[in-house]
Amino acid sequence: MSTYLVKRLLLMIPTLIGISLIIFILMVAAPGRPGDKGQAFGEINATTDPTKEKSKGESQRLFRRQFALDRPVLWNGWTSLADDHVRTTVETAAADQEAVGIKAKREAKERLEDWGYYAVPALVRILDTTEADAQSRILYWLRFSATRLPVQPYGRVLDEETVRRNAAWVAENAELAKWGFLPNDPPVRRAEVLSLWKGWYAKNRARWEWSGLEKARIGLTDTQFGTYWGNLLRLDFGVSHVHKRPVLALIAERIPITVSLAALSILIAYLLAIPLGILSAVRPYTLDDRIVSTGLFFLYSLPSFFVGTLLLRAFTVGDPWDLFPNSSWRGEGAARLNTWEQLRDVIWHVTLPLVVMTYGGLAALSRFARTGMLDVIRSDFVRTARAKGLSESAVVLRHAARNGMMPVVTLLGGVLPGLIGGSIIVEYIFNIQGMGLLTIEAINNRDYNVVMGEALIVAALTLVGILISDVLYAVLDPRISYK
Amino acid sequence: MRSDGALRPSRPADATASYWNVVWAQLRKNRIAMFALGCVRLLLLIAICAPALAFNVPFVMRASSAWSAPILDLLFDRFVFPGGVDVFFNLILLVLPVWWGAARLGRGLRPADEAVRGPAFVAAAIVTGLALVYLLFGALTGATLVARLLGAVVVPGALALAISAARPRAVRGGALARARWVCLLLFLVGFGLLMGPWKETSPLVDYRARVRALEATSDGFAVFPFVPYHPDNVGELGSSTTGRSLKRPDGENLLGCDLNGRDVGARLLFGTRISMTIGLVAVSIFIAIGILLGSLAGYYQGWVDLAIMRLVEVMICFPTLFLLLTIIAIFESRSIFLIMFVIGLVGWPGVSRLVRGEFLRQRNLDYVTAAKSQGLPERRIIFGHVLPNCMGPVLVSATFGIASSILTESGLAFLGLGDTTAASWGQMLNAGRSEGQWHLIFAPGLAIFFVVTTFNLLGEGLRDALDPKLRR
Repeated sequence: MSTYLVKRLLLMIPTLIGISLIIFILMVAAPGRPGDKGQAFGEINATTDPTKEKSKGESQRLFRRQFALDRPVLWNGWTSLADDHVRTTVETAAADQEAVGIKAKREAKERLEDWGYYAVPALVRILDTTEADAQSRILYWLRFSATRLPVQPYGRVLDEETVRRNAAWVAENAELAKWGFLPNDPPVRRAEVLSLWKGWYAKNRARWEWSGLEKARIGLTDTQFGTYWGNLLRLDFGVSHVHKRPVLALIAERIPITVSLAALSILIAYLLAIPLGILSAVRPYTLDDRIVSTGLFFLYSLPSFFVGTLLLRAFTVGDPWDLFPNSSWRGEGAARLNTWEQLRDVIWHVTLPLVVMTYGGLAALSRFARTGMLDVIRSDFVRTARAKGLSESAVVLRHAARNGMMPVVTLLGGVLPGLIGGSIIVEYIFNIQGMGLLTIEAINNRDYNVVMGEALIVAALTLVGILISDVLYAVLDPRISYK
Repeated sequence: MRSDGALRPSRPADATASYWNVVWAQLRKNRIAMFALGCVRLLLLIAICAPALAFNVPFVMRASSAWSAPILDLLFDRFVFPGGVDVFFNLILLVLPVWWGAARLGRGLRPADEAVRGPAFVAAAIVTGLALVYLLFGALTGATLVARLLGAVVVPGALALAISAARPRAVRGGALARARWVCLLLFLVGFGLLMGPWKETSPLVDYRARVRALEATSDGFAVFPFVPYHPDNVGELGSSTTGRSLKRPDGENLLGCDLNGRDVGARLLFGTRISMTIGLVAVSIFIAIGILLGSLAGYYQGWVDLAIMRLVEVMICFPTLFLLLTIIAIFESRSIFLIMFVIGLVGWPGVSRLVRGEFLRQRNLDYVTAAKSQGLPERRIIFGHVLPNCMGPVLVSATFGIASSILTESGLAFLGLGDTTAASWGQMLNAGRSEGQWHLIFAPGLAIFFVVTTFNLLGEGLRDALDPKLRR
């Protein structure tokens, strides 16, 4: 049994990798993300207020840095930027719009922006071999690239080392910002600035000298892909830019509600479905069976959002009834009540949502239970049991039902994704602060980290659910041995 | 669907009846499934004829002793029907009568008249086409030049389709076949013209108000569709629609009106179009993907199978709605076609599992070995020989898939994440939820329930018909 479990757990790893890969592809494909290309630098020239320009450009850059959007997707080859490439890019970024086209100009600017610190050596080198005007353009980008943004992930406490590092960066940035010259500055000033930059670069040269191994490491890790996986392995799903909190904390808050609702509704569905299935299979094709089957068929086809809306309208508004609350899973002052009252309060709140979540699964399960029982009830061992003179209830419950219910148990793995998916709708209708509602809110707020984190967690949860149902099957059916 | 295939008397006994003939004969015995099939046909008919059932423009009207048929002009108006789905169905509405009539005509010809058939159809096509062009557009005083041109292109194209629908076997070779393709091309060009941005639009008129005014003063006369309202109230003044806001059902608006004064009945009828398109398109996409991947996995096995099955496992772990939401979240604007595409993209794992299983059963059978030994290309073995034998279960899952796709789309629209411009039932239900009005909840809710039940019943019937154990 334990070997089987270990094997199953190991098999989950490629599936999890596949899931994360799909999420990553979706994230990269997402057009129009906040801080996406085209939004970063394009409009900055359009505004007239230079201070505003700067702050807007900087905040965009910060945002892109935080979410690693300014890095290449798969491979980072910026550790060895060719001088000529950098030179032509700088020239294109500064060229006339008519000469190179607005698109090429914008792309060149964005490329320089993204290179950032990686472009410093190349920029310093080409500074030597250029004259006058071009020099000032290169110097502009050198100042830009040499500035390191102290990234502060909001909603998190920084450790001391990061704080110290950020302070050092800020100090250096302030120093570097002074080293520029205006177009009509005297040549003496120019030479002075240039020597300052060269001196600084010579002193800090080691920052850009990577060994082959380090280059490979940067190439693989300092990319969108690498950052994503690195964060995943640390169970870091990023930060919600709406809630200003880590996504994991947000989700952890919501998981208990959604999972306990789903678990409860599965429990209720099984408790009702199995007796119903047995009852209608014991007397197949009689009137009772037909009524139950037809009723279940219609229940199965009833959309949950329709039933939910009807229940909400009928029982919560006070026209005609006002029996249940219309939102949340517990009352406002619930925390002050004692345990017993709290329990009553929660039950009062979740009755309607549970009904909506349960009936669909109930219908599917009891149809399965019926077919499972029908398959078994005609088999030889049941006839033998009858022939032995066992009572009808013993035959049905102890001999037939235990075997007939096997397929129903395996169905758990199939019901679970549907149930968790359905919880979105139930939480939306009854305004329950679970994972589903979080997803909808995140989509409406374009809070992609939350959306993707949710998808990952939900898929992982489903995977665990399927595992549980498989293990359950192994435990229940002694004929199957997992060696 | 050719309903008379299995029962044609000229066929010898059941021994030579094909697999699908047997299945069809089985299905015919199932009264509930046949009822469901009838309902499906009815739904399709409603979807196609929606503007003939609900439209705030009259079929014919007489104003100051001049007759006109405004409905024909406005059927392809960019402001009256801005959505691609509506344009498509309106085109079918225009083509359907011709198509159907030609098909009837074709069946009337005896098999002995083989020599007559070709020329007869060409003549019929030309005559009917000319007549229709004259009838539809030439006689209309208000018809623009573009509309006339369109009439000249669309109607012959429709006829060509009608011919091929009528006798697909008779026109399979020779000059007639080429003529059919030319006509089809013309038809597509016509369709492109219809969709084209240079279609002139007439100024929007509130025909109901105009007819009322005419009736009061002179001998004005108009025949409106059964529900004389447009699903989006196009052409009506805001002042006249606000008065109908949240109106309860009465004699005038049989199912009441929503918050914006739009008639629920009209929206319901036009919602059929959305649901049917969603069902058919999304299912076609996921069946195509599922068949392709499943057959590759089942036929080649080995690492291909391993890779595809891992992908299936990954896809199954995502609850459908969550994955859909995640994909849809990244799109700025959500058109109904995007929703269809995404639903199709998400639904395939079940189908590919099914097809793979069937392939695993079939691939070692003698006929496959025979095909291989003849040196047939693998493409032909997979798609020409093995696949047709696996289509039974696929058909069943496609039928259930239509139901679940419609349900999924309604769910998305209910959450406010669908196409907000389309008259989708789910969106109507969501409006009913937020307004708390019974008539706004029941109408779309029951419509969704009815469609889903219909397709589920049909799916069950098909499953029983395909099951050899249940064969009677």
